Amino acid sequence: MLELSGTPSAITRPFMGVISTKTSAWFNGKPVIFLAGSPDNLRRLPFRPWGRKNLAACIVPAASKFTPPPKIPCIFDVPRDYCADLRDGDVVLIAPDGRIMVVYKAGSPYNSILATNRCNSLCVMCPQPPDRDPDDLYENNLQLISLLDPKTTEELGITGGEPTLLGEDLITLVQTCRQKLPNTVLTLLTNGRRLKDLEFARALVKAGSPNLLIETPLFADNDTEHDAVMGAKGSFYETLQGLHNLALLGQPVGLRTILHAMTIKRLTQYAAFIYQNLPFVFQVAFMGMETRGLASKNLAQLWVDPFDYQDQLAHAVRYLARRMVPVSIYNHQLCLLPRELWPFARKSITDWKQAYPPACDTCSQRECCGGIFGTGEKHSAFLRPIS
Amino acid sequence: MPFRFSPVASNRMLVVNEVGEFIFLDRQTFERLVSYDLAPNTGIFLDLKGKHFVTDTAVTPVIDLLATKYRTKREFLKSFTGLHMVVVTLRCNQRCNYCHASSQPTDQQRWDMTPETAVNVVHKIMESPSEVIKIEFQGGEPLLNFEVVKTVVREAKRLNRKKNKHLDFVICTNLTLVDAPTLEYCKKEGITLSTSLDGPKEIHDRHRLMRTGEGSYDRFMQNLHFSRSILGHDGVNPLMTASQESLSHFNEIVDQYAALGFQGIFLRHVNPYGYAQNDATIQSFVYPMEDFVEAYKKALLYIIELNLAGTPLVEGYACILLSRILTPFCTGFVDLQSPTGAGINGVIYDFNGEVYPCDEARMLAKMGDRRFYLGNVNRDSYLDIFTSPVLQELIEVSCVETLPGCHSCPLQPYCGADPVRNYAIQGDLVGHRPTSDFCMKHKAIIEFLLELIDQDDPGVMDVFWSWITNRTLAEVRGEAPCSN
Repeated sequence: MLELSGTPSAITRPFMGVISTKTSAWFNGKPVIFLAGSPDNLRRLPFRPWGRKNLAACIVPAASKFTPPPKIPCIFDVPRDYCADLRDGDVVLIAPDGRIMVVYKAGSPYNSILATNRCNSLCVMCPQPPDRDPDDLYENNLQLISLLDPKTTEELGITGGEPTLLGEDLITLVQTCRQKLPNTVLTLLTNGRRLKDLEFARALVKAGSPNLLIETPLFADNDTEHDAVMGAKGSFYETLQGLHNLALLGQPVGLRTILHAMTIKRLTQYAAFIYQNLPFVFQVAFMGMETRGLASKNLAQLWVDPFDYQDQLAHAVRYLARRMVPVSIYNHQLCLLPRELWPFARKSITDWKQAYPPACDTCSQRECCGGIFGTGEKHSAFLRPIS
Repeated sequence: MPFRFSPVASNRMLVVNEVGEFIFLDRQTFERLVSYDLAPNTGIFLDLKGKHFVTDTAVTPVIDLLATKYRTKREFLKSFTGLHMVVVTLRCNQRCNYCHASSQPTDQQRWDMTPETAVNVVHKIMESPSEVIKIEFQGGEPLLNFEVVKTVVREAKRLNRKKNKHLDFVICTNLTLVDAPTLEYCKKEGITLSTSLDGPKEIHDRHRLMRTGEGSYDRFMQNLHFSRSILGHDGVNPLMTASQESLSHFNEIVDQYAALGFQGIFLRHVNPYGYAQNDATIQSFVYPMEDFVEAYKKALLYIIELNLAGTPLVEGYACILLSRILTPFCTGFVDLQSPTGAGINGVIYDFNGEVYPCDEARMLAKMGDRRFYLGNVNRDSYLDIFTSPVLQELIEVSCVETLPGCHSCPLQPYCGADPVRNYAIQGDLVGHRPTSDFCMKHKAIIEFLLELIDQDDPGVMDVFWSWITNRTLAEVRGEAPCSN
């Protein structure tokens, strides 16, 4: 999540609002956080809207002489290049300590709701290991949904942790999305273990229909290896039962695997297993590993330079593409992929994580390429510009 | 978990499970598998586990997965009879040496189906629970009784306004009698033509003769182009029949099909029935199955080469078997199913309204053996016909799981049974596999395909998948232009 900070003034509790640079947007009933172009703008503001409680706060860029007005929540002295990252329609969470957390970027295809930090598994390469949830996470999420513009929010993810741990609350969350954002495509990331309960799966599918996609990680063609990656015994068959339940309910599901030392050896067998047992999936995504969190901790056990597994990847991709199973390659730099795999590569790295090392400066394919994880610890040793 | 196995060439064992997933093992590994001697963390054990041959952990979820796959493979049983063949006349203007349809001279109108019978046929057809109905007009030469063809089409479409099935019509014709009004009618009604082309002139004219004695090739070619000009290029699909003389010319036949721009060819062994049993030409049609299989294998490799060189052409028989071997889905194919497709997937209505489970059964009746007579549309109800004890018996004796010889054959999930053929050739419905050339043929060809798949040559696999998924090679290879 993108996070900025400045000097707080008159902020007593954290709250959420929609960024606006125009005064005309103040009266749409949602709490507005006014992004001032310069401190002077703030002085010229008509302060009546304060009384209507539409204007929740101001964000003021750094300038030499600025004294915050009393009783008006402000974060000032925000570096100008930070302010430049904010757009009308962004949703931010403002904290009394002066932090501004961007929880929704208007116009970005990567927005997601973090449903929970908790998880019922512990994947060896988890970039974001499970954690306890802040008390107000669920309420904040419901509020976030209510602040989004249904006309421009085309896609929204629901991630975790493991969102299904919310149980009934997840159903409510999905229903709320469906009501407030009827045309938004929701993508729920879940390991699907809890969806082995057909009634729970049915309620979820009903709540999200017809614009819900579900994506599920599956790491192997057998429980021995999958359960080892997932850090959870029995998870393989639970997930498969969950996937078959979803297929029974007509719910579109996609699969994901992360490529590393424990998954790469049997990639074609993995592809074969999907075709034989899960031929209904709308996509299989082969994902490069983000070397962060547990992936970084377990790097010695997991690291394979992507350059060294291209044969296995190409074989598995070809295997599925022949069978008309849609394949995507995520998080891989084009200079590592053989040309025959380029049509399958997607620019998948979230915008705020995306980075381009110096080698990319002279690359002819930079615009087509998703770059690397700026958040990752280790990258391929074979990144090079394509002429 | 249950599986079947048999040794194949070069000291290897073919192992296949109940749903058609297969693996080749060397003898030593196989011995270790069956003596529970493979370590659970080895690659080969995991290969076997991923294909559900073995499990060292959970059992119930594996059986559930196998059950789901098994249901998918047997899905064709859900729909019941979809292919309905209607013999609108026995008259024919040709007199082919291998005809098994008992063709009659063109002036004998008593061999025509009457409009009344035709209407009754359509009513029976439309009672089928199948959502997809294909009505195939056969003969004789159906164009000699075209008014009845029209009656069937009109009546079927009328009834379908309520039934809302997917309805297809095909006329099986030798093409020699097509004219503009006939073709315009077909175009208007969405009817395609199925025809016969045995190869280049010399091969075609050897056995496909006009009733007057001369060859039919020149008229065929002329009318093929004429038909295409009205129905479109893909409005006419040919079938070939291999006589003994064709075996050494398969490549030329393939070349001709490719040159004429047909989408596919079906290399078909001649059926040993009807006129094919006549003394004068018997040596052309009763030849060792081994010879056919050898010629077939060579031709298949040649067709693969052609495809790789840029000429798309599907070999239909391989395509069906490959779908069964490589996909988790089912593939209906009346001639090779378990239980047999005769009756429950395809059925034939003779000119006089008599119903038979397949053309071979109808032939036997013509020769005096009414063993497989199911009923008559003019007298019997749909239920009488399709639940007749004859049909029930055919189903009972054609489940490969229970047939001697088939029960332990690893190729079982890809194969099927033909009880009518067993009866006609071997004298009983169950048949005797070791002396069955039907068994010999399918076994040899399926094993050949399995070996090709096991070699995993990228080019060959691309061709196979272009056939199975009906796409071009470029599409199979994902050679869509990069969106960037």
